[in-house]
Amino acid sequence: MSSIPTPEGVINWDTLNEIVSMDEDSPDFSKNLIIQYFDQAATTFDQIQEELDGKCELEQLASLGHFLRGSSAALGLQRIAWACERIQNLGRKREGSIRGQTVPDSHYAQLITEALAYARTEFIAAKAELSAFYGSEL
Amino acid sequence: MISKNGGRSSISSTPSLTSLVVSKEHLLKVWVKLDPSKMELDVTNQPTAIVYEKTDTVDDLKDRIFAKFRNTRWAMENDSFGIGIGCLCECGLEDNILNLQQEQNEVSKSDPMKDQLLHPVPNSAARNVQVEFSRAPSTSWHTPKTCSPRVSNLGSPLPLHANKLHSCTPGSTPLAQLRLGSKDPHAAEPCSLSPVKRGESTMLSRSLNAASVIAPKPNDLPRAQLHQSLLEPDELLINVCKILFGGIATQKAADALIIFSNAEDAYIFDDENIQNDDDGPLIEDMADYKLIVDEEQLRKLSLSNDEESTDHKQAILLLPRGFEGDVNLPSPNVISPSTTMSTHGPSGFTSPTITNAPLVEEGIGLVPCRDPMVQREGSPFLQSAMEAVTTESITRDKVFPKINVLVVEDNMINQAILSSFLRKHKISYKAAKNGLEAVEKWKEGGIHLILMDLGLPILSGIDAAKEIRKLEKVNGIGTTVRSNTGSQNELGLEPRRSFSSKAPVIIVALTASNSQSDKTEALLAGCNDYLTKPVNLDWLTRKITEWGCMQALIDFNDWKEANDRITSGPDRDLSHKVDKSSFSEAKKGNAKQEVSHLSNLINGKHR
Repeated sequence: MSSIPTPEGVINWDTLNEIVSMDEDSPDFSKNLIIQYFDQAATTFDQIQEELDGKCELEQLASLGHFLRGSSAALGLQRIAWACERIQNLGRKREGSIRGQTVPDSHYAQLITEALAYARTEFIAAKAELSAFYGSEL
Repeated sequence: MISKNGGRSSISSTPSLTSLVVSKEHLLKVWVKLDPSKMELDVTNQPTAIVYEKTDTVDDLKDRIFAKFRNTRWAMENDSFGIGIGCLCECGLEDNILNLQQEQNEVSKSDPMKDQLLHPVPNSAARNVQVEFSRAPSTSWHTPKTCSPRVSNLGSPLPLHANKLHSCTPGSTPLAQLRLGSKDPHAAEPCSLSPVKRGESTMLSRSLNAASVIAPKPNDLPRAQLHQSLLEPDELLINVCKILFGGIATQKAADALIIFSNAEDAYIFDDENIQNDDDGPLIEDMADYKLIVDEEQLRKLSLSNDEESTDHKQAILLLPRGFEGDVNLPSPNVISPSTTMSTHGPSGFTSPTITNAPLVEEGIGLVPCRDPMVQREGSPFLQSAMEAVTTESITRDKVFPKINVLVVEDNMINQAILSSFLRKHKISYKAAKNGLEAVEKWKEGGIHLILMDLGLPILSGIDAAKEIRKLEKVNGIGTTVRSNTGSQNELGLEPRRSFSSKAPVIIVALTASNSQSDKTEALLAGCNDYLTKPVNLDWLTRKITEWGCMQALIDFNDWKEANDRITSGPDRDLSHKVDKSSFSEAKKGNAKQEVSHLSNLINGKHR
């Protein structure tokens, strides 16, 4: 699917710890941010799914991928970010093409669907890990 | 190298002219050669004839010597204060003192011993005594260390002083006694060093108007000891020749006067001398010998050989202090192989040239110098310590520039992170969710720095950056003098509130990918810099500091005004001109702070 390898851990704690460190000034800052993120991610997944099921505009899919990728990466949820990057690139046809062939948009849509499934899996994993971290169900 | 007699001496006078003036038969010439005891064995040391004028003194001779050897290494390493003209004298009168050091009694004058003994002649009463023995009877030699004893010892700039110096040890040698006893300078026959006159030479007397030391008959003094005799700088050269050699034309090359040099002087003192020397342990002086490594420095220092010169002062200040009290301190770091003479051991002579040496950093750093100036400027240790402090405390927290940041992020999560970060660091900010909003917020004015996400809806970050640059150009921001003074600008905005800064805004792009194309695109659109997402907060800190400081420096007044407006609210806007003077003090403080901080940044010291 991509030459870029999947990140090793679900969460990049170096990144997340930077956010967590801001809790000093405003308690529960990071936790609230994470909760907000999960909402955002779930919403975005649904939007992607809708788009895939509906008009299936690749550009729109790429945009959605880009959007979620930004926040995922900012919070250190690197595997979700990775999946989002795939969606973004596939939507822009920057990857997933087959050499020497003109592939239809449905080809990219298919790959995006796969990436979305992967992202959802990682979303669940991340939620579990972070719930453990904060000691409460997120 | 202007001698004090420079008025009547003339280095540039030509031999032919001289001959016309002085003598029908001969040019006045005197043979000189370098002190053979200082020469490497394999170096040839030919006597050289120096033409002089009737009115020339010994000091003038020095100048002539330098003129003649102008381009030689020797001339670069020496100066007229650091050399003395004289001869080696077998003066047996001092035997009782000299015996200790005496090693080679039989050496002839043309082949002098290596172990020269230096005998300063105590002659407090002597107005006319020309001879200065160089051997310091211990402490007196070093006594006036604060005023460059090395210079005065040779008598050139301060002959009187030199005499005083010598008077510190009256009667320390029989020679001195003899001299003091003699009154008429012209009465007695001079001691001659010349073979020609040897037979006739009589007991030493201070009368020798020109002669230096007196070598009594060899038979009388079988244990005669060679030692340096320096001619008084004021002495007329022509008289010297007459007395020493019996006439102005009778000197032979073999009898050449010897140019004693301090610069590389290195005589061995016995241990006792070293230990008795309270003023400046000789070994430490030697350590300072090593500080000059290139001839260029030497020459420069020689030229500025002036009591008032700062170099000189610095050297005198630094030398004893750093080393004082511990003979074993000299560090190996400052020993350079270039000091060829160091093998001879420490010397009573220390050249002013040497003490002028600029101090190398290691030299200062290794020595616990008590001079605060040195500590402040010189010590690498201290420097690093200060840097540590700066880096730790100041860079991170205290000196965030007071700038206004516009955060353009469509993703609320990222927006929240960045905003929270800025809030934490007390940096005022505005937020925009898309490119169009970003441009509008920028138009409101007062923004110094924009953190611009590129993947924005409605108007992308790229397009927003382009738009902002276009508007800046239209309004003359960052190009020439503000163009919006005459009329309302084309946006119909009130000028100062809209574009309060003459400096263009700094746009830092937040690129989602690390790809080069994204970065290039961002820069082409008019962004100044970029950060790759996810934004590392350390990097963000740096960017804000760097660019903020830059903005503050580019246009301090506007920056200050805008800053003022933000902290005090819009009303202040109307009154800020009035109390401009009142915060000029604060300005200075801030500017200083920022500048010092910026210098840290430039040096890459902050983290």
